[in-house]
Amino acid sequence: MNSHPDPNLVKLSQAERELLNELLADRALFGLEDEDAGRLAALMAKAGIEDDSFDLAAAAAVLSMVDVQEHPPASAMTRIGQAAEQFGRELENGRNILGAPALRMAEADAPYSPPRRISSAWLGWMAAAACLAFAAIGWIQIFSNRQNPNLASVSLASLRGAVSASPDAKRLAWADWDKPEIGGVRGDVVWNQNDQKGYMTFKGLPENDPSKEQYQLWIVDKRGLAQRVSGGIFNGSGQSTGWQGEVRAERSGDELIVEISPRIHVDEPALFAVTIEQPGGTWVSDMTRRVVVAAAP
Amino acid sequence: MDQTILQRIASGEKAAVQECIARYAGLIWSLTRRMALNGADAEDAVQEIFVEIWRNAPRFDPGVASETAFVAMIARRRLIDRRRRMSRRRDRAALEETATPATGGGRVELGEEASIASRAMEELSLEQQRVLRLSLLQGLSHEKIANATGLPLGTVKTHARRGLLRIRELLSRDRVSRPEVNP
Repeated sequence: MNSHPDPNLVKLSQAERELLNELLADRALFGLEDEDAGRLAALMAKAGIEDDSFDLAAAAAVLSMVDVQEHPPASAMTRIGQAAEQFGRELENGRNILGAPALRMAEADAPYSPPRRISSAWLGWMAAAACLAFAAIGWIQIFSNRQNPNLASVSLASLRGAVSASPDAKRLAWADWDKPEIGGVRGDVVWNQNDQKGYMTFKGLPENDPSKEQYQLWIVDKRGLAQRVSGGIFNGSGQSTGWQGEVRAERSGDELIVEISPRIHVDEPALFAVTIEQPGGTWVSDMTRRVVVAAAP
Repeated sequence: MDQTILQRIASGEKAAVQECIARYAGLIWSLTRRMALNGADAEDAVQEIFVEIWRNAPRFDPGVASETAFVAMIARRRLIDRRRRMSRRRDRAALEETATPATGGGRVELGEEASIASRAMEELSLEQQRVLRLSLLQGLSHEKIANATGLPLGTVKTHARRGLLRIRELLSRDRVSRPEVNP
């Protein structure tokens, strides 16, 4: 949650700042079409800011106008209660807001729960969830590569090729982020929105020390950086270190291929971005350690 | 100071989820209905909004906004997203007729931010106020507001943006010590 003017705005030209304000106001008032949402996401990424202040102002204005509050009908209360039960179970299990890296989080000042090593129970849950989430793509049956030993033996290059061949897939090229900590990294993202599956390739991404830091992918939809979803954490070596939220990666020479596997549905992505985070990743990145971005046109 | 409901949810307190429902169900349902969602669509939306609020509970910062404003912000975002995905006819008259006041403890006190926003609205021209009301309360698009008011599309956009900027400016200036205290 951020409603304060940000010094990072100086990174934008006057015209860009005016456009940013217009887009933020329009988002809060009317919502944005995909094209404008992409422009807003790109501007916020360039400035490295998040801004809820327009949305909060709109919310306050609406509150000032709501003179009558209706009570929901019993059927609606039943459905809310069912959702609460499910959420309560997740709380009890220590999942969701307390542990899931897929939580749509944004600001640096939000509380942070330390990452945890994967338990066997959690692995089983992830495998089951992944099994349900993946779909068949082309001639390769895409099930969970964590659960299905046959698929685990299929190279990521082959899996990426299958996604890439789909007519629904989008391909976005990586570019240096504003003031990247690691510059000159190249490659692309292929993403199938319908299947919620994709792969990243990198050339020139150095190996990290997993005991000190890891790479983390963020998927940003048209609503902007504040609504980003973690797409997984990974190591430049392609080796797993066992942290919860790690995704499969394979390195061959200078090329690294990494799967994209968000655990919740992602609206049409406007931006993919990679940051460097503490071991185990975070869901409250301040996005100061930047590597690459790939923006939708 | 006592933790707010959302802070308690963020710290894993299951009972706070039920308190959240009791406190905000009336407000969220009213916002949903005013955005012209009905029947199963409205129930889908309200369920989705509550889950979104609970999942975003760790993002709530009482130093930035009241809990009520944060809840309304999340609700509006989801409603705007949902409305943009749907092409539904809206029947404002029917909505007004079906509105029934909440009874018991379901009504949320709207707090200082709503008062500030109300004062900011009063500073605006009547034309600006009308544009903002049509946008914020009824969820109409630029084009529909232009049709409803007879104003040029560009004027509608300018009125809406400047009006919201003014409210934002006053909120920023008048932001006082948080957090809001739950009743």
